[in-house]
Amino acid sequence: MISEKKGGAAFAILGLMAASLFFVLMILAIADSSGWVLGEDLIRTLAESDSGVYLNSGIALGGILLAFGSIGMVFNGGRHGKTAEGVLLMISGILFVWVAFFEPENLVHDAAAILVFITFVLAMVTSIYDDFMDNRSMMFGAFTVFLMIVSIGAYFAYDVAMYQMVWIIAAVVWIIARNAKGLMNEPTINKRK
Amino acid sequence: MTVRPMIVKAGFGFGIIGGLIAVIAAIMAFAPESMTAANMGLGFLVAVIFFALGGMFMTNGPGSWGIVVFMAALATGTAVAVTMYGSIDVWFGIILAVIGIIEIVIAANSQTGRWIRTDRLTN
Repeated sequence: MISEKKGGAAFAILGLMAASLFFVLMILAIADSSGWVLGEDLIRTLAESDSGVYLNSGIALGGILLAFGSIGMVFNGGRHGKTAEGVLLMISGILFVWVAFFEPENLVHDAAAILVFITFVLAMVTSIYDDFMDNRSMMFGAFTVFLMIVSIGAYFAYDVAMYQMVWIIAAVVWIIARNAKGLMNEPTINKRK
Repeated sequence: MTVRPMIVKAGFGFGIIGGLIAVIAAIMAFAPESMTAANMGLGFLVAVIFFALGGMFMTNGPGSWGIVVFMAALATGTAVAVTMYGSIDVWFGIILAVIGIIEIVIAANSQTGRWIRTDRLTN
């Protein structure tokens, strides 16, 4: 029998806010920037422009909210996969704040950005493990696998400016879906039977 | 002999249809003037995954429930990725993506899961 605690809705709302706030501020930055072209210029260029203040605010706020929202995953349920996912997302969120606080010329900025990517991918992998373990949440597991395959495909299909955007959108969609699922009652193996 | 639920039979059917459409898409991607075999290869890769997925809904099919759902997501993701790469026509890609999503829904269905865990001959 698998027992799960409920009541992580507050954390899920923080996660939802993290992804949506980051995305809205990134869109604002793109709208405000006159020279930045989608699919041609890097996100880094946008961050260094005058409109970069919106993007950096979104990165910092998103990172803080993501880190706090992940606390719910760490302590809610006592499942190893979910705990690992929460810890990795928390680290990812903290490092995301570093990306905003350190200037792009600083080595810490680049190192933090790479580590955000690595921890986020690992969080997705542990999420797949947790979802498929004991047939817990097949639909969301399939969704995560789908997003990962599409992201890998984007790497080969597009140049860096475009696949960067695909990855960001995939990450935002995944975080929103993950936390929206957290708001609802998770289907357990007991309920499926 | 076990009775296959209707939804499982539909999963098998959609898998085969998806494979056949991917084969057609791969053949239509053949461009002798450019001598590129990669596009056809990627199209056939999608076909192989869809056929394998269809086979998993057979009475003697392989894989646990989790693997069937994983394969459904893999087939859908690969179809979309190969379309993004430009190996197959966009319309074929859209049709395959829709079939893939139907396959995910069928594979993740609790009735399919129950059949795989209890009634299917092999796991």
